[in-house]
Amino acid sequence: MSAAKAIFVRQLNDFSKNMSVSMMYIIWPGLAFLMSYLMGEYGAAQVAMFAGMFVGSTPMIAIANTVAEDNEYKSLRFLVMAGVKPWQYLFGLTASVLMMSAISVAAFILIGDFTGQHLTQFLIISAMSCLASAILGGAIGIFAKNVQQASVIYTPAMMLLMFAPMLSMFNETIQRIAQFTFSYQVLQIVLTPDGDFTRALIIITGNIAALLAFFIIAYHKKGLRG
Amino acid sequence: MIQMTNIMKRFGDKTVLSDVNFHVEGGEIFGLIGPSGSGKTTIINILTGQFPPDSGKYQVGATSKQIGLMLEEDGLYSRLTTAENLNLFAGIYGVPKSKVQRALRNVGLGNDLKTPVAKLSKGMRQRLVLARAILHDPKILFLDEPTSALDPGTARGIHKLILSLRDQGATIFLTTHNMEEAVDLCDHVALLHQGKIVEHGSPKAICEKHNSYKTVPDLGSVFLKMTGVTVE
Repeated sequence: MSAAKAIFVRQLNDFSKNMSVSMMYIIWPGLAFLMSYLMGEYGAAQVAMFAGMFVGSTPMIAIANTVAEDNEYKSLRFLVMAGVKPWQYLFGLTASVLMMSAISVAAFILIGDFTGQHLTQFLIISAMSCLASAILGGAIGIFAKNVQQASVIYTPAMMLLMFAPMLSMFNETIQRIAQFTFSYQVLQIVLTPDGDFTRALIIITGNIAALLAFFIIAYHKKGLRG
Repeated sequence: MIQMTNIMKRFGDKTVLSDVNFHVEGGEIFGLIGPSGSGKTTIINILTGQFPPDSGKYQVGATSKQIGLMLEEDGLYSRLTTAENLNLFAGIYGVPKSKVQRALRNVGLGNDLKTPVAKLSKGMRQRLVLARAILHDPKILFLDEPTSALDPGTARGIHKLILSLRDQGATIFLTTHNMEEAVDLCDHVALLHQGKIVEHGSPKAICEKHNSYKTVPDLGSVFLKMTGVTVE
């Protein structure tokens, strides 16, 4: 466990110095705040949109970039040779990403002014969605040989997860597909507090299971050897 | 402590190692000498478990946590400081943070605790990698060309450090192009040429055998005689 903790601390240190990643934790709540402030009564819609964009991009990119970078610069090789188990590496990494994500989610809560049951539901859906996004990022990071390749893989995934829920508000066909993504569920939970929470839970659990399967395939094929 | 028996390794059609045999006693400095592409790094990669040999046996008398590594690629985190890089490994090995400062002082980076790795020179990076390798007082230390990018003064300091680690009981396996370094440091050396060990023994004994011991052992001449290649 000490190895996982060391990786967790290292990752938080690295995030604080990696502007391209740390900005992603700030920019989505920041934009939500700005748009809510400018648009007043439509604030919830802004939070919905940017929270959906946040879960569809930030945890995934943070993990994919880190794993790919550790692979590219052989840092992962030294960790493995120092006796770090793959699960310790991934646990430390995911925990740090989820912790950073929790801060962004807290900012969304403040901006959206969620209370009571709506707050609880938003918290649960956001946490599960961040986890799904992180698992996807882990799988992409394992598949990629370097950061550049990782960005080639995660960009289409990010586009789908970020924009499909937003565009689904204007197009029924897109809505039929987007409703099965975790980022859409985040958007929905903000916009429709009295919506079907159980259905949202089932869809996100399905997402996590599918992404976990994708991750296992990636790990089985490529492994984490650095 | 370290043993290789009839090791063979191929990459595609190319045989990189062929019938490699050697034995390293505990508490000695063993030097593997050879030109670029002779298979030195492949031997270290096999011994550190990065890939298996095609045939033959090898044995390393230490667990992964008892091994210190200094390889060609440094694997450092360039955004983090020198101390943060070592703190990570201190956490992994479960050693106190006070050892981080000690390790950095030992390699002459005591004043650079808060310097980001991205701002270090190549030689300083190399010293940092050595600090990482010795952080947990390893039983066995694998050093792939430990002084190749260092100025003579720093290299001498590193030599002193390697000798003191040996005196404390560590077994050191190093590769080098530098014959003087091999003579000064190593208790035993093996000359590797085209994937085969063409000579092995103590530097002094090898030089005496090949009449290359005048006032000091001239291992470079032996190397040229045995391999016919230019020493880098």
